[in-house]
Amino acid sequence: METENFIYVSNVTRYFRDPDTELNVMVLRGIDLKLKRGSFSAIIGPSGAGKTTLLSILGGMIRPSTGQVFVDGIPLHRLSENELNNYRRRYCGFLWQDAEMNLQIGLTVEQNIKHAMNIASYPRELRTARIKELGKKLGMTPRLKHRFDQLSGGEAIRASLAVALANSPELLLLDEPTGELDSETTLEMITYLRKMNEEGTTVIVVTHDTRFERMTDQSFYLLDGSIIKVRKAEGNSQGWKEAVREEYTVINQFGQIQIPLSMRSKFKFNEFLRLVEDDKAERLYLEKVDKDMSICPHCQVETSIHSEFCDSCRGKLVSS
Amino acid sequence: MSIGTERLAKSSILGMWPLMFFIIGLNSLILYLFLQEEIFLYISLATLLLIFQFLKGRVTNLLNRNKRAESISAPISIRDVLGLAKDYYIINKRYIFASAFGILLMSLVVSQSTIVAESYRQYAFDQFILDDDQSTFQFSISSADYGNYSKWQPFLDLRIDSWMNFQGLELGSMRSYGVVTFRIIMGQRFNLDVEERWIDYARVDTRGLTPEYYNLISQLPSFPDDLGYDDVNSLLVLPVDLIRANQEIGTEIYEIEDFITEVNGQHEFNILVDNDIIQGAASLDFSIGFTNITFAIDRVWQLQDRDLGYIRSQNLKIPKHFEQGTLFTKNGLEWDIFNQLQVANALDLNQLPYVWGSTDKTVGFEAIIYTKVPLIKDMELEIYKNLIQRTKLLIDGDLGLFETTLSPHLPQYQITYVVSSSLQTLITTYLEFGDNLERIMFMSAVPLLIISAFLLFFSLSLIEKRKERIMAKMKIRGSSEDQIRLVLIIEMVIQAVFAGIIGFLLSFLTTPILLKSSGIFEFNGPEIPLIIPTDLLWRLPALGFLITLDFNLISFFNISKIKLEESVMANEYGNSFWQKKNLDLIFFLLSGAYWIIVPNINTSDLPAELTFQVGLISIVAFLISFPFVVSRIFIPLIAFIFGAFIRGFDIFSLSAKNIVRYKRLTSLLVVILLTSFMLSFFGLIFSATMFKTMEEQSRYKLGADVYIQGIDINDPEQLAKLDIEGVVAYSEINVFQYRAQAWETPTEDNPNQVPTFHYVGINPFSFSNAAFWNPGYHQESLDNITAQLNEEFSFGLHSLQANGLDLLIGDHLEFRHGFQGLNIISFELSLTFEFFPRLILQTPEVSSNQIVNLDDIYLLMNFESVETIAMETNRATLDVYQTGAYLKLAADADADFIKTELFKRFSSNEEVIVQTFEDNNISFFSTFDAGSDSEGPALTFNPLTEFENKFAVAGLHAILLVSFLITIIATIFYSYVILTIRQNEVGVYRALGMVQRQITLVFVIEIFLIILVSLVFSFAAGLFMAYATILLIAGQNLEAVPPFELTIPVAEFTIIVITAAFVSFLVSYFPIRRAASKQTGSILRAI
Repeated sequence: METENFIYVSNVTRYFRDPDTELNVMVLRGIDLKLKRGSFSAIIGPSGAGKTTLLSILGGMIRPSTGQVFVDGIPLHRLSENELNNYRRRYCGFLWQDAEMNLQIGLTVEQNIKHAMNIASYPRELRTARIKELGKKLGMTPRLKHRFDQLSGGEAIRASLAVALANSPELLLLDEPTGELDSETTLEMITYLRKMNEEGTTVIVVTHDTRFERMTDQSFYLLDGSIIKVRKAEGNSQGWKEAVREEYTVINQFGQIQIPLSMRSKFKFNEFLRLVEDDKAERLYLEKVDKDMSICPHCQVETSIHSEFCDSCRGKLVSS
Repeated sequence: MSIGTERLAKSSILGMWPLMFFIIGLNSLILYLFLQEEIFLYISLATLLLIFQFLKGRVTNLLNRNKRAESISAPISIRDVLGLAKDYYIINKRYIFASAFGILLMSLVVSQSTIVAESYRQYAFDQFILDDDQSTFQFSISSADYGNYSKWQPFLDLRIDSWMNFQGLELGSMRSYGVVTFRIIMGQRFNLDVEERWIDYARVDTRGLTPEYYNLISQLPSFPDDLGYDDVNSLLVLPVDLIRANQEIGTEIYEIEDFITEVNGQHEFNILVDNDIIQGAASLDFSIGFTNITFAIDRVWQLQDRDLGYIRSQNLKIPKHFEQGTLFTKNGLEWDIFNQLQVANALDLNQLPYVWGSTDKTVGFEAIIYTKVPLIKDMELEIYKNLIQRTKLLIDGDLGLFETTLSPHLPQYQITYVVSSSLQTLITTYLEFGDNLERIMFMSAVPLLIISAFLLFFSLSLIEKRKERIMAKMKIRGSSEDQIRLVLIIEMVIQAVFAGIIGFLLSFLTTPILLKSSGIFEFNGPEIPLIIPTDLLWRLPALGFLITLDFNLISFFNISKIKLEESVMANEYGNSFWQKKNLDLIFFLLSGAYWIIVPNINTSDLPAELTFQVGLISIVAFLISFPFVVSRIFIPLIAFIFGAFIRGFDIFSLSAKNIVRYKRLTSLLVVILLTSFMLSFFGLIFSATMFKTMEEQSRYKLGADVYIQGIDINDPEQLAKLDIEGVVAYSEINVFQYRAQAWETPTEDNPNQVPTFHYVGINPFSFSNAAFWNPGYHQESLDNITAQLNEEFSFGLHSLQANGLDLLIGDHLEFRHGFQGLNIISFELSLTFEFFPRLILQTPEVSSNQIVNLDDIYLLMNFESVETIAMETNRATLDVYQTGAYLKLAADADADFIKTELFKRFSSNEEVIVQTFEDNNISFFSTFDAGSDSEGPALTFNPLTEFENKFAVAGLHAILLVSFLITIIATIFYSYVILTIRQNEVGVYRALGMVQRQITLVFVIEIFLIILVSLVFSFAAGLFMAYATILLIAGQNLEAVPPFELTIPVAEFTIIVITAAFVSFLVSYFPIRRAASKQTGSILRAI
């Protein structure tokens, strides 16, 4: 089971509280994911699909609301705050889309890398060599002594990557690493990531850059909080395949459920829905309701609320 | 599944619970250091012990876990943590400095207020000791037994250089602590035939011994045993009146007879001796029947149970003298006796050595050096002893004149020192006042502490957001909470050391300035010397250190709260619960309404205490709620209106809009500004009003138009009678009549003749009071006195008068009219007449036999002296306690009408005497009533009480100064911190094409607007608070005292407003200019 895969994600959901309506919104809806050690994967999808949330869960930043997440056999969903800290330190290199969130502003690139090493107590004797290596690989050697505000956007991203890689993590999580890069640098970046991957690092990239599709072992297309398409680079089949999945939802303690976006757009629900219990089939389903119709109290048949008498039994309707 | 979890360290060392305990312990320790209450120390020790226990378990667990091979939890490497701390410092440098600055300020305020409190306290104590007539410490140089050298060696003189030594004491290690007075007490040995038995003599101190007490003690069962006059040769000198009243008692113990010696044929002394001596003495011809040897006087009367029983059976209270365990003190007594001798023309003190040297009857000398050293330490005592031992004595021995020094080894010139038993009494008395003073100090320090704490909290909470981001980034890289905590601890400790020590050192510089300037503000206030008790040297840095830790603990709580989501970056502040419920507005409206409604309705039915307390609460509620209401509601509103009205001027309206837009950030500044401005204005208005009222009040006492004696001030009906047209106000007084001692120094030409007495008398109490509150009054009075003096006048001064006149021992007085100047050596002479509030000039009648008629003067101070001088009158003089009132008339009032009206109204009351002050010469009237109770003086001038009053008012001035300082710092803070937060905005303005000048203007106008509105609002609030406070303290007696008038010191007020506006502008201009000069790109990226 989970030990076979380096990453094993099962039925993960994640709710967020919407500050305006104070309602819980389901961002991830039952994600299942199995990744092998040393694989290179991409999570692709439009904005708001839940990519970064998924990545944050994998990075131990937030916990899933339900479901299980195992990384190298460690149950992230069960860890305490402090254990999560240790997990991040030991396993993860994380790169946010916003370079400012990756780097401490007042420090130079080199100091930033050392900062990360200090946090993880990286062996001292290896530090200088590692910084040199990173600088060389990422082409940052001449920029090591520069602070964040002296770097260009691409350099900042590369510096961030250097920080993420500082402690030689087993798992590299990247959130839109190429968002601010020009195409040439993007390619360099992809090549570099590929190289990292070949050295044994498991890489997961969140992106909407389609160029990653071809470079990765597998890609997952995330839409509205669930993986709808998978593309695997196995054999000759290079195309996307619809993910075999059923829609799931969770009913929370207040009985609230969230209908997936695709279904919402397909069925075009209006505000009022009728919940119908089907005792025989042991199921519950939703039924559209016409706002202008109501149930006649005499014959239990729908009738217009505008008329004075019931259409079918002509009984007098009580205006309520 | 536990496969994974085993490999990860589960918990951190520093959890939440120990932190809570730590906070409790820490704050208890702070309270202990601040208040010196030991209970807090115990609490903190207990909590620290708990934490220790807790941590011990945790650390052991952690160590064990780390030993396991499979554990991947990284042990905390101190080197890495230091590296992190260094990184943290680089990242957060500017903010660390900003918060360290806030902490520095806090520690400065704390240590400053503590030092000021200590200085004031010590000053008050010094004043108290100095003002009191008693010495606190004395050296006794005695040579009672110097027979080894010569049998009748006369002591000739203390060499003049020893005087210099004593003067040196004052300038020496003790600063101006003490006053050294020097008294030479001579002993007289009777030339009796009773041979050498006359070495020990004794005398009973009769100071404070009223007939009542004398009766009492002489009847006590233990009297004969413990009095200490076992030697048959002892002498007992007592006032004749006492003896006369108790003939039969005296004879029970000693065979006492009157032994009256004519001294130069004029004055009489009563020498009461033991029967043996009388017999011996009777056969002798000796001129002065008096002796005085130190040793015998130090007897202590130990009260025994049977004595106590006796006193109680007489329905009497235990006299103070008994309570202190000593009845007989030698303090100043010898002097009094010499005074008697001198008055009697028997002695001229200035010529004493020669007078005595010329006879063969000198037995010794005693020099008592009285020092006014409040808290003498062993080392200083040694210095004193050394100095005194260098004193040279000139002895007329058998071998002729020889000089010798005092020596601790030679018994004949032995120096002994005693801490006067009265020191303890003094300190006990002082401590009662000292407690009050401390309370006042504490009360006036609290607002300062609150303001500075708020400022510190403000700065730290602004920085907190930034700290959270840094910590969030650290956490993303997997930093454990322990690591972050350690980094924070390092930061805290460095800050704490920095703040504790620098703030403490800085307070050495600022406190003298504060003390000096508070002297300026105090209207003729004394300059308080800076005094730093040694325990403050460790207490204050420790306080600074701990307070820093305390305030930085916010970060500790926040570490666990940090969420690693993108919303971390949002700088949103939520509404507080009190804002949601509008609690500030409710409190503001309630407290405002209270002071509008209550003065206009009749609350006399309610208990006074209740109205006082409700009033106090409402003032405090106002003080707290007003800044919040203004910052939350009024400032945005005004800015909005301002912006709407001046649409044409884009920059102005932009500034106004910014105020509305950043109202949360702005409100923090506004709250600080308002609180400190409010307190400033309140302090300014309230203290000015109080000073004016006090001054007016003392002038009423001094220059009242009508004086009504005997009116019962507790009787509202009688007080109501004073309500006559033309009477502006009245002040109630308590009258206590004192007696004066009078004597006259004979002239050299004619030592036997007593010249005519002319005295200038001033009531010392009202005088001192007036001088205390009215700057320049003492000079005015001194001029008055010296102008009156000529050769025919003698000059009597009480020590309180001298205080009022600002005279000190050692001062030299020059008089007009060629009258010989004099050095003030001692304030023993005293004379005053009837209790008059005005300076009076009076020539008492001197009877044909040169004795002052007691009917003409009421003598002060020494009971026995009075009796001695005027013993023929043989009347008991008792203190009279009465109450009365002074009336102040309007300028155009019809004095005659009022006088008649008063006489008419009080005609039925025989006790009441109405007196008008039409001229300076007022006939005396006597209302001695032997039957009335002496309840003690109610209208006395107690320097400490006045000091307290004055200090309470002056303390507000200190608030004013410090809060002004805080205003400036708050503005710097605002422009510095807020600008850093709002750098983005500058970039946007830049991008929109605004030039540096325009951007600067936007920010400057914004700050200026805030300060201006704050000033206006806080002025209104300060005025309101001063009004409410005065109403509160005046209670229902608004008319009984000079009416309070809200006084706004325009000059000070203008200075404050202009300086505040100017300084704030100045301090905000430069950071703004700097921020505005940055280029768009660099700003927008480097957030």
